[in-house]
Amino acid sequence: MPYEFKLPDIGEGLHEAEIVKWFINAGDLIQADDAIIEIQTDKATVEITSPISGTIQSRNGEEGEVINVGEVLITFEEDEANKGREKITQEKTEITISNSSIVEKKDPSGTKKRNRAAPTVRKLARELGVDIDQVTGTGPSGRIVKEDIYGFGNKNKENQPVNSIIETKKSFVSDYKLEELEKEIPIKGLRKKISEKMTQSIYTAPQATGMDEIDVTNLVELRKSLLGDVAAQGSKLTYLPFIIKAVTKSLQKQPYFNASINEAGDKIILKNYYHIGIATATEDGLIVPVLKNADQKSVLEIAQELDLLTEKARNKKVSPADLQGGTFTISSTGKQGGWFATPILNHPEVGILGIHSIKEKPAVINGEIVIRSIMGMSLTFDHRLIDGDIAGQFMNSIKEILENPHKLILEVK
Amino acid sequence: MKVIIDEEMTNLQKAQVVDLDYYQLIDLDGNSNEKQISNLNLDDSDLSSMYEWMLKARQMDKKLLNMQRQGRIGTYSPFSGQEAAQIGSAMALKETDWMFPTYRDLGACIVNGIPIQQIVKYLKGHLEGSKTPENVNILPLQIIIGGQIPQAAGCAWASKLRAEKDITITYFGDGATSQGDFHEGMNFASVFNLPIVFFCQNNHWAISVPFNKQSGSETIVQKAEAYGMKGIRVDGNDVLAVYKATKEAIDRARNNEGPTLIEAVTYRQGPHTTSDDPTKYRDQEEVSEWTNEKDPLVRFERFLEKRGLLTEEKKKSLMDEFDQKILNDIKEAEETIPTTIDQVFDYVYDHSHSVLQDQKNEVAQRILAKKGDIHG
Repeated sequence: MPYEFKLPDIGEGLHEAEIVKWFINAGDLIQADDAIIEIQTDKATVEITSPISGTIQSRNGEEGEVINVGEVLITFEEDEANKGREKITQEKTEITISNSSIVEKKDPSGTKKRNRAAPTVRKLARELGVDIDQVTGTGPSGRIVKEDIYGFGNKNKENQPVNSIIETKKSFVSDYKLEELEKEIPIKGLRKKISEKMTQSIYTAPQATGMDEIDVTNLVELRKSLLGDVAAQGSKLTYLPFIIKAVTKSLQKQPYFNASINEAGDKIILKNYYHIGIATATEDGLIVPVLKNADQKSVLEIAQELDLLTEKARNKKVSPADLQGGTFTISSTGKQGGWFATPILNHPEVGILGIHSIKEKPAVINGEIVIRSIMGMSLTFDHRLIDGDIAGQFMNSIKEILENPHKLILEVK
Repeated sequence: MKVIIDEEMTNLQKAQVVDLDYYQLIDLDGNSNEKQISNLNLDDSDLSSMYEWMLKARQMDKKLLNMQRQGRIGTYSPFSGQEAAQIGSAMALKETDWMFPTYRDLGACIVNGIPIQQIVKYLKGHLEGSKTPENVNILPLQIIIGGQIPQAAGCAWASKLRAEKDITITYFGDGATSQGDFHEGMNFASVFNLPIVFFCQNNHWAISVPFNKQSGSETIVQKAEAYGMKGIRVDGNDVLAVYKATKEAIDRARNNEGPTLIEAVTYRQGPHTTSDDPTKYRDQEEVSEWTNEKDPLVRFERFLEKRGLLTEEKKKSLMDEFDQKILNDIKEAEETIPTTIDQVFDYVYDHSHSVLQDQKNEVAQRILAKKGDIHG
C-alpha cells in the first residue's frame, strides 16, 4: 500500500485548513521532516513537514482550497528503500477491552439494584405515582428518561388520578428536549466565507437599490435569430452576453461604477479594466467567477467563455484565479427569481446589477396597449460614492442598449 | 503614627534601586575572562558535556515540533532559545535534588534523567509517559501556570524536616510571577528559610503578553527583596553564567542559608504552543535578533571554538549521532502499544480502590456498548 499522509489536527480541535502554498510536486523525492505544505488554520499559518522519506505520487488540493482534517494531503509512491521504515500510525488507535476485564458491580449495601434515572425523572415518576423500579429505560445505558415514565403512565392509566393525566399532556411539549426540536449545523467552508463577505459588505457600504423594467422584445428576437450561428460554434447563447456587453459599455460611460473605495475610506480607486463577476449558484452556495476584460471581447467570445466558467463551477473546478479581480458583478436570478430584488454588493465593488425573468406584459407604445417582453432589473450601488441621479443614468444606459441591441452594430470596427 | 523623616525616605529609595544589568560570563562574541571561567571548577569535558546537552535539547525540540505538525503527538510547547537557562541550571543540581518543571522545561528534564522516549510517550498521551524512572527526582510536568511553586516549597520543607541535604528547584516563566501561587510559594519558603531555588526563565512573552504588561516592576528579581530572600539576575542565554548563579543559590540552600530567586533573562524563539501564531503579536526584528546573535547555542559554540573544544566537523558528527538517538527513541515510543483508557484508573492509588474500580467498569462497559469507539 502506498503511504498516505492525511491532514492532522495541528491545533486543538481543528476541522479544516486552507492550503496556502505547496512546497512539493508529484514526482519529487523528499526526506523526512522536509517542508511539504504551508496551511492556514483558524489559529495560525504553519508549515507541515513530511513524516517519512519517499517519492511523492500525488498531492491533493490546490492553493487557496480548504481541506478537512483527516483528508489525504499527499500520497507517497511505494518505495523499495522505505519498506523497513518506521511505521507511523496517524489513525486513532482502536481500543478494545475484553469482557473479562469487567467486574460485576456489587452493591455494598446488599440492597436491590437501583435503576438509572435523573433526579427530575424520579420526581416526575413520584408525581405521577409511577414506581420507577417497574419502568424499563430507553435512554443511554438503559437510563430512564421522561418519555419512559409517560409511556409507563399511559399503560397504567386506569390507576391514575384524572388530574395528573391532564397535567401530563399539558406539560409534554414544553418538557420535550429542545435539541430534539431543533438542529444545530456548524457554519463552515463556503457558507462561512459567504456569511463573512456578506456581513462585511453590508456593514461597510451604505447600499441603495434602484429598480426598473426593460422592454427586451427586440433583444428576444435578435437572440433567437443568432441561436443557430452560435450553436454552430459549439456554444449556447443566453441573454447574459448581451447584458454583460451593455453593462461594460455603461461602465465605460460611468467610471464611478467600475471602482472601489480603499480600506481607510479616504480614496476612490477608478479601474481601467472591466472584469465582470457572474454570481453563480452551486450546490455548496454562491460563488462569483469573473469574466476578464469584457470590454475587449465580442458577444460570441463572451458566450464561449461563460460556457467554460459555468462548466467549471458545476464540476467544482473553479480555481482561485477565476474568482479574483472582479470590478462589477451581475447577479442573474433567472426564472425563479421574482421581478425585482435588492442585491448586496460584492465588496469592495461599488455596483451590482440584478437581472430577473423576462415576462410578456402589457405595455403602452404610442398610446396603445401592446404585449411586449419585459425584464426587471435591480441596481444596488455604494451610496458613499454614487448618488441616485448617477445611478439613474447608469440604468438608463443599460436600458437603452438592451432595448435597441441592433445599434451595437454601429460600433463594430 | 510614625512620621518618616526625609533622611529615612532617602535611604528607603536607595534600597529600592535595582541594578538592571545581569551577570554574564561570556559575551556575544564568545569572549570571556579566564579567571572567572577557572573559578567555576569546570573541566573541558564538563564544558563539552554542557554543549552536547544543549545541542541535543535543540534537536529534540525541533523534531518534536515537526512531529506535532505531522499529527504524531499532541499539543507541544517548544523551548528553543532557552537551552542555556535550562541546561546551565540543571547541570548545577545533584542527582538526588528535587525538580518541579513546567511543560516548557524538557531541556532541564532530560539532563536530570527523564528519557526522551518517556517524553514522546507523554506527548502521545500514553500513561507510561508520566511514569518517571524510580531513581529520578523529577515531578510530572506542571501545566497549570505557577501551580508547582507552592508544591516545590512544600517539598523543600519536607527535606528540611527530615534533615536531608537535598535541595529543590522549581522552574516557571515570567507569566507565573503574576499568579498568587508564586507569592505563596515565595513567602512560605522565605518564612521557613527553605532549601529551594525559584528559577524564573523570563522569556519576555507570556503567550502574547509582553513583560511590560505582565508586571509593574522593571525586573522579576527585585520581587525577591519583598520576600526577604536573595535575588540574582543573570543572562539566561549564557550557559556558564546561569550555571554559576544556580550553583551559588544551590550551595546557599544546602548550607541552610535560605531560598533564592533567579531571574534568567532569555527568549522564547518559537510559538507559545503549536496552537499559537507569534507573528500576530511579535516584531520580527526582535525575534531575528534573538534567533541569531543572541542565540544561546551560537554564543557557546563561539566560546568553545576559541578554546579549541569544538569544530564544525565535531558539531556535525554530534548532530548526526543525536539525530539517530532521538529517532530511535521516537521509534520505540511509537511502537509501544497505547495505553487503554480503562488503565487510567490503575495508577491513582497504590492499590485498587472500590470507587475507582466501579468507574473503571463503567468506562469499559461504555466502550463495549460503542463497539470500541472511545471518543465522544
